[in-house]
This record gives sequence, C-alpha cells and structure tokens, in this order.
Amino acid sequence: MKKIKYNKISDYKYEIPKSFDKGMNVPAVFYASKETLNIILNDNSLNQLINVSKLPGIVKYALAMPDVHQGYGFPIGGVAAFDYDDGIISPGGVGYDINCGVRLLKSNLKREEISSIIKNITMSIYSLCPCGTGRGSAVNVSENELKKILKKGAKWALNNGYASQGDLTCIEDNGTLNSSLGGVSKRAIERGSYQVGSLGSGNHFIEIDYIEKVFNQEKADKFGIQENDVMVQVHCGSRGLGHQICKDHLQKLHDYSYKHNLNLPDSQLVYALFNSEEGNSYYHAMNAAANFAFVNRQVLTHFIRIAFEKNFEKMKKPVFLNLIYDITHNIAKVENHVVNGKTKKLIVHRKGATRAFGPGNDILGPYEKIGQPVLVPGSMGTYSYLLTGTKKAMDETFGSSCHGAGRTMSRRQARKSFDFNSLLSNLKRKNIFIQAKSKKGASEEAPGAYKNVNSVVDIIAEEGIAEKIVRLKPMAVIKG
Amino acid sequence: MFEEINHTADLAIKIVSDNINDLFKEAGYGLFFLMYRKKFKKKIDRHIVNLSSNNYETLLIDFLNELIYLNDSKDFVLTDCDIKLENSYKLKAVAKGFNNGNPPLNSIKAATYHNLKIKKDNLKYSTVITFDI
Repeated sequence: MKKIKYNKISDYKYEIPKSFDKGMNVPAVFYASKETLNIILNDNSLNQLINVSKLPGIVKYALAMPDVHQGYGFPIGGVAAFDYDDGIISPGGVGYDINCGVRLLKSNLKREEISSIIKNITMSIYSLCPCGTGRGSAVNVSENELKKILKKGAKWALNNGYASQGDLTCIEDNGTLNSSLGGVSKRAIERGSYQVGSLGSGNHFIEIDYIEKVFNQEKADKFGIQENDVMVQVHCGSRGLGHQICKDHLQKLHDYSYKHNLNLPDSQLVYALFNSEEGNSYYHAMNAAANFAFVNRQVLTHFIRIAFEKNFEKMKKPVFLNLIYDITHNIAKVENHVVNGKTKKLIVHRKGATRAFGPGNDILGPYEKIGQPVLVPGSMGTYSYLLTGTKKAMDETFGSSCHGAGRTMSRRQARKSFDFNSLLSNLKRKNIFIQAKSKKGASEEAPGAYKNVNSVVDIIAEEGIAEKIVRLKPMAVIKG
Repeated sequence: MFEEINHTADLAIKIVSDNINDLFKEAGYGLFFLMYRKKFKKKIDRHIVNLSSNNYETLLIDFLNELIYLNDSKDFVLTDCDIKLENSYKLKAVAKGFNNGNPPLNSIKAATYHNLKIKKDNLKYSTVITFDI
C-alpha cells in the first residue's frame, strides 16, 4: 500500500488529489486536527475513502468527517454524493444497520431532582426496553402489521399511540420515507417482527444526561434548554430487518456486478445505477428499513416516558420528555445541492455521518430558522453535543457533519486494555450509573477506545460546518 | 485454523486451511467463537444449507450470513459441520449444533465482502473476513 500524500487546505481540512491514485474520479477530502491526523493515517480509513472516490458518478469529492475510522467498503464517517441521472447507489455506503441514528429528548426535570433516584429510573427503563442480541421486542406485531410499519414509518407509531404529532415534526423527514416492499424479503419481515422496540447491542445505548455547558444562549433558549436540564439520548437502528435487507441486496448486486463485469476497488463497494431496476429496488427497501428504525426509536421513547412517569408518580410530579430531534447517520438520500453554481439532484450517502442542513430550508420544520439540530454522542462516560447545521455545511459537505467521537482502538485491543470492573469504578467516580447486558461488550466501548469527542466537535465548529449549542454529561447509561 | 485480527470498528478473522472445504468450516467456527468467546461441543440440532454463487468468495459470505441468520432467529450455535463444495460454486452443508438459550456476547450483524480474497499459496488456502458488529 503506497504512502498517502495529501495537501493541507485549511487549518483542519486536507485533500488527497485526484492524481494520487489511478481510477480516482474526484479528490478525497478529510477533516483532522494535528491530534487526530496521526490516528487517521494509522488505520485504513483514507484508503477506503480513496476507493469511494473511484465510484462512477461521484460529484465534487469523497468526504471524511473528523470522526472517520476504518469500516468496510466506505470508511465510517464517510460522505459521498452521486449524480441523480447517471450516478449509483451502494449499500456499502449505507451499512448493514440502515438508519442507525440518535434521538435527543428534553425533560422538564433538573439534575438534582433525579440524582437520588437515577438507579431506579435506569432499571425501570432497562426492564421495559429489551436490550442485547436476537429476539426481543417491546411490542409484538404480526407480519401484516410490520408491513404497515415499513410503509408508514413514524405515522404508524402515531396511529398506534406510541407517538404524538409533536414527535413526528421533530424527526428527520417526519419519520416516513418513500418505501416499497418489493425488495423486502420474507426473511427480513420475519426478523423485523420480533424486534420492534429493541435496543440491540454493540455501540447502541440509552443515556440519561444533563446539560453541563451552554455555548450559544440565544439558540439554547430557542430549543428551550437550560443548564442542568435532564435529557435522554437513544442510539439504535433497524436491527435484524435492516441487516437482512442490506445482505439480500448486496447478494443481488454481486450478481449484477458479475453480469455487468464491474471493476470494483473493493467488493463491499458493489453498486447499481440509481436509475436501474436493482438500484431502485434497493433504495425503496432501504427506506422501508429506515421507517422501521424510526418506529424502533419512537417505541423505545414511549417506554422511556412510562419509566420516568412511574418513578415520579408518588411525588405527583408530571414528567414530560419532548423530542428535540431524531437524526439518521446511516442512509442514502435524494437531495438538492448547489454544485459549481447550479442546483443538482444528488444521491447523498452518509455512513456514520449526520445530515447538518443550515438555516433556510423548509424541510426542517420548527428548525427552519436556526438550522438542523445535529446530535453528536461521545463515548461512554464522556460528553455529547447538540449542534446546529450551517450554510457552510451546505456549501462544503453536502450539508453533513460528524456522528460521534470515532474509534481509535480495535475492539480486541479494548477488551485487553479495559477491564469491566475498572471501567465500572471509573464511571462510579464520575457519578455515572451503568447497566449493561454484556460486560465484555461494555469494555469494548470504553472511552479510551475512542477519540476525544471535544476535539472532534472543535474541528467541526472551527471549520464552521456546525455550531456548538450545548454539551451534555451522562448520569446513567444502558448498554445492550 | 482461525485467529482474530485487529480491526478498528468491527471484528476480523484470518483463516488458514489445507483445503477449501475446511476453509468454509473454519470460517463458521471462527464466526461463532467471535460471538460467544468460547467453544461448544453439543450437537443436538442440525440445519441443511444449500447455496450457490458466482465464486468462492461470495459463496463463503453467503454461507456465513446464513449461519448468522440461524443464530439470530433460532439461537443456533454451530459446533460441527459437514460441507460439500461442488464445481460451479454450489454448497451443500449440514450445520450441527444446538439452540443456545443465552444470547451471544457480540452480536454480529453480517459477514462483509470487504477486501475479500481467497488465496492459495503452498497448498494452503487463506482468507481474512471482516464482520460488521
């Protein structure tokens, strides 16, 4: 593998020119600080980004956000936009966990009101929200009902008492994407029907936080957020249903690739023209999985609300948990962006990257004037951020930002380096309560295995891709 | 023989074997080792797997993803496997094992096609598989 040569464009922005490697259709651009540059250069993420730049119909450049790290096919933290008319769609640019995403809820409670009962609240949530692998759902649905979920998304949750109209206005695309079930296999339906309202495992979590710092008082006021407010984050995706849809279509696209004799830089980057039968089938099945994930996070929210209410019943205090926003960070979307002064219809792939639209876009609903909320959860026991998208993001990153801190250490190394009991004592010292289904799984997610989220967010803020609004600190975390 | 190798975000194993049939078997055992971090012996249940593909690489991934599905839907753990690979990339396997009541320590979403190449050097077959978790 040849040494990567790059040019520094600004303080935190670097470019690998198109001339660097044969087959690159556009340059590869990435964001890094002095601190994170070495980390990025030491894993395979930039080679993966170069592979993405070789895909047909790619527009402007292949992008990597500052939390980029080695994945498979696309790097995690990768963004790539393809021409609508003659570009492609690639399941490898979305990932197996279609519409893995995060939502942030704001309560009417203050930190001091819950600190003495934090364990009880956490355990109530844990008992109502199934965690871990395999079968397990908060809500049992028939296969016919599941098909309604795949078509209607969050509207299904509204119709069945798991959501309010207010919730739907605060979900990306109101929680419903245009789907069809033609490309959804029987097996995907079967897997979905036993996992509606389940957290899963890996890096998925439910976290109770408080607002530790306000960076932008004016915007925080618009969100109705103040210091010490109790917040809740939910991070999960489309579970086995999404994995199955991705697998099914990768299999079909390998046949397509074989039939069309495509020369792929990495076989995980298999693709179809967006305007082909295969491309269309994947796009609409992917949207069906995205609808499932919106419902999944909404159903979990319903049970988190019940858990909070239950714990405040005796005190006769009404508890509200209002949705600030729900974002997806694994998806491909048809969007309009200005490229070389002209508005172009593009298929924007974000794999481990968050949409970060700036102010002035009417699809943002209540956030049209202040810009889209961008949720950046940090590693376990550290900080998370609420940011807003900017005009610069629209100009430079197809309206995209980072999605987390980004791993630096393999799971194997993390298991060897961090033992669960020391992790537990560390969190205890910070007054953070943890409830984890798997001890080894929790060790793999130790903060030391990740970049410092503050540095990652600073890069984003310094480059003007998103604006810092508030920082959250955890009080309790539930891991699958 | 399989061994776990480092991967930043996911899990990966390297497999070396004397023949292509054993490469598939070892990949299956490696997958379940990554999931449970221990080896089991029970052979109570069996599942028939019939697959076909365009080459050995995609056939191997399809086989592993079939085992992942059996684990997700039926809690099945593979402990032994009779496998027959035919020309034209067809696979017939009897996956033997048991239905484990306990979920795996690591949930594996899928076996990926990332940089997948089955190599043959000095009469040994080898490959590296990345799993999305």
